[in-house]
Amino acid sequence: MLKKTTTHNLGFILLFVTAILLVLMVLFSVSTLTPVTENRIKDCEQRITALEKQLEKTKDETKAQEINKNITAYKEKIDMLKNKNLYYVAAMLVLIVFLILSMAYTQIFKAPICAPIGAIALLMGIGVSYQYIFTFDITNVIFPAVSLFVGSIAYFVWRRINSVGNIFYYGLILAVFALLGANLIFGQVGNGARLWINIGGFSFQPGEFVKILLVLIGALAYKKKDRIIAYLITAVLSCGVLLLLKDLGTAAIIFFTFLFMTFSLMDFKFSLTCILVAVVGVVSAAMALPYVQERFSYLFNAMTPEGSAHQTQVLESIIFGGVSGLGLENSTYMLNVFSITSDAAIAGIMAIYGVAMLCIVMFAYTALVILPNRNCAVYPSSHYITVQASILIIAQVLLNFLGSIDVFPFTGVVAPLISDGGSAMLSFSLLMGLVLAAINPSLKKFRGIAI
Amino acid sequence: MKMKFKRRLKKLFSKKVSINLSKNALIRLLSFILVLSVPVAVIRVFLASKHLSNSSVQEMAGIYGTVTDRFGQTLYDGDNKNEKIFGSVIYGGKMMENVITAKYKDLLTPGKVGYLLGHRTLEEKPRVLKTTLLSEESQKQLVNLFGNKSGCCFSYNYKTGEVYTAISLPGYSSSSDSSYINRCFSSVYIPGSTMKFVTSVLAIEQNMDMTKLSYTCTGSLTLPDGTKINCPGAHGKQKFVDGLGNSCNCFFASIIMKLDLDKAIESMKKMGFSVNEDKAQAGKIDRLSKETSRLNITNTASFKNVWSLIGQGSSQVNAVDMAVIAGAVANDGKAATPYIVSSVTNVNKKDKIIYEAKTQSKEYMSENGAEKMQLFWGNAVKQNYHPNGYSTLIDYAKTGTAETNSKGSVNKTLVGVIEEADTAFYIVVEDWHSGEVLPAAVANTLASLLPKNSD
Repeated sequence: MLKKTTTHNLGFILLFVTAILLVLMVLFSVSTLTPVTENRIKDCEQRITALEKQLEKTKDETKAQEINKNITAYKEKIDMLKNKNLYYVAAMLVLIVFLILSMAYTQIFKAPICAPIGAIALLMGIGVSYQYIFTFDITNVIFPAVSLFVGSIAYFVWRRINSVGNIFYYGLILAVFALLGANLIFGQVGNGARLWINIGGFSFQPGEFVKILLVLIGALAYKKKDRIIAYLITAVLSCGVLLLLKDLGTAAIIFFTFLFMTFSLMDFKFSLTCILVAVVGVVSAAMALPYVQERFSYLFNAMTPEGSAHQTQVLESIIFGGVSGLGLENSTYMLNVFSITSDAAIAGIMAIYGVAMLCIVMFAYTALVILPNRNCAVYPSSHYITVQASILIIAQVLLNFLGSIDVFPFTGVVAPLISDGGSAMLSFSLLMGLVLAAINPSLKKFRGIAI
Repeated sequence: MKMKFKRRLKKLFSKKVSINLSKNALIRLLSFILVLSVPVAVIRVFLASKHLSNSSVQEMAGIYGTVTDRFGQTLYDGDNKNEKIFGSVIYGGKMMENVITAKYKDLLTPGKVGYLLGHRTLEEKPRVLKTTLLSEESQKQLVNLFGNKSGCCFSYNYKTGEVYTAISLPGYSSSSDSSYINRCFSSVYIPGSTMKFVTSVLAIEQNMDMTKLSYTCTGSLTLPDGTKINCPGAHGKQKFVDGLGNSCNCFFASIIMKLDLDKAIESMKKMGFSVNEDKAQAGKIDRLSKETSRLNITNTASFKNVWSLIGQGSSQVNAVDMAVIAGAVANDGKAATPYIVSSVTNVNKKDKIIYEAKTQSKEYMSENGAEKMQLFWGNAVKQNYHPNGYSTLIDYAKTGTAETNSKGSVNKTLVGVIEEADTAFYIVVEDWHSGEVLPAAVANTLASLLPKNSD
């Protein structure tokens, strides 16, 4: 008989300590960054003055329009900087409220999910504090709030489900192809890859949701031959389409989770054959693509003229910070580093906060990887959700971090829960909801309702 | 034993791996890789710190060095002020590599950055690079004389090598996002009649008796190949001093036709010219790249070759080269190699001198030849230049009007020496029109601004 572990008081203390840490982070960040923000505002005001002088002198209409555009951009920047503190405190309050609610829930219902929640909240708190250094507006409050809400809904819904019918299952597969198809047809090119779809002024990345759907599809295929075949085909095709869309990072992450699933779902001999064929096939196809060759050509060349300028900037920032980091007071140095809040977020944290904070981040990710797999799962699908989620986190973190410091080729994937990016935060929170549900499925009922 | 092993292997390949066993082992292994990424990152960053460039350190620190004039007054301290005057010689945009701060980057970088302590190892105050240049105010006076005209004004001390001005206009402008070359170093000009003083030296070096030389100019001279060299008017009977003072094309054509070609080429190479596309001459001034003066000459009788030695045709001169040759004339055949940077000191280490310039001299012509040239040239200037508004401080000078295209555009050029300040100069006003500033006005002002030996 499989047993569930119960919540210890230790779990409550852990969440409480995490909440205190977030409060301290707010106090420290606001007090240190306020003078830096004021200097940035002054700098923007000076630039506006210089541009206005230029506008007076220029007679060329095209140039005048460009100058006006720049002036507007600087004015918007000043507005953002003036409201930054307010939005940051609001975002951290959202996290602290989430923690308090989680403390109450886990204590009342004895849910063994304190530690993973603590890790999630800690990572999101570090991510929000990191984003606060650069730009912070209302979206930086809304996305974490919405993500936590969506994750919570996913948790409460999925913990009541232990199996799904074929309609639902093949519906998930259809959704994967619909998302990829929409990306192929309507996708907009940005930074060399076609990753975004614009809907009513909001852009979202279908690739991020494809990852989560494939986790579910793989997990629900256990012991069902037709579903296994459907999953394998879907995963391979998804990798191929993503490679064509130049989303090398997402393709690589899906590929790694797919490799594990073939290993787990089939005979060792058959799965080994599949793995070898897949590795040779996918690697050959990938290396034949020019943009993949370009990324590999930059490898280990960051500090030379043949290297990637982006990786050079990131490495230089970390070097300049030293082991103890640049510090928040010197963080303006990193304002012009490309994708510092998304594709190079973990490296940016290392540059500003130092190796100590990097260790905390990696510790939190490791906890998020190991803890859900520590307990015996109630259902087989739960196993595969937690394991795939773990592999996804590991792959994504390693690709994000090591890719931006020239240990791996740069792939442009974001750091889970830390990086800026609504789609990534939303999809990852959804995944975490599924993982927590897998750890703590509904076995009891309270007044007739499954809890 | 063998059977037991075979049975075990068969069991391994036929058995489905247990979920719990594969999951836990793999997850723990991969988690270990996640943890391992921290020391891997530290090692990667440590290795990268060994390859950090001086430019990156300066950019990170925001410390680019302080550049001062010869009196120790700041000309540049990281801010782009006075970029029109100093942008093309001291600093410029990121694309400008042929400027002092770029070439002396290694000495102006505020220390080394290793990964352990990062920026905490950097020096607090910028290092000081002292130049030999005149003060900002003096340079502004000269720049203002040019007005909207393009051109250059190079002047230097031919005994010590100190460069006083390296003005290049239109200068540098960061707002237009352009990079402007420094015309003193990176340009060559058609010399016009300023070439005649070089031609005079060639003749003197070949022991042509210039005291006995005379010529009657009728306004035109027919060359052996049937072509004609013309003067704006007939100058009449002239001695060499008159011919030099009048800038008589016909007189100089007659001198050129008497030159030994091989000896002339040898003398020109000694003076730093690249002759007949010979690339042997190096082009450097104090770490800055410099264009080399050049001309093609295959005989001393045809129009093309004679015209080149008069100052048109294939001859193209660099301002620095011409000033150096003029300085060699004034300094008995030798001239110091120009330099702009006199010292670099580290104020963070009790003004420790980390670089100090040394005067280096070179022979450009014979001492005897130079002394003779001084005599003729000095007399020509007293006769023709001082009465026409040239400052009496200017001891030797030769004007030039260089035709730059077939539509009649001209550059006004002037080479000269101010002995009281041991200074040689070369001034160019590009695309000159009547009524606009002449190089003479610039030279007169320059003469008043230079530090004199009597000061």
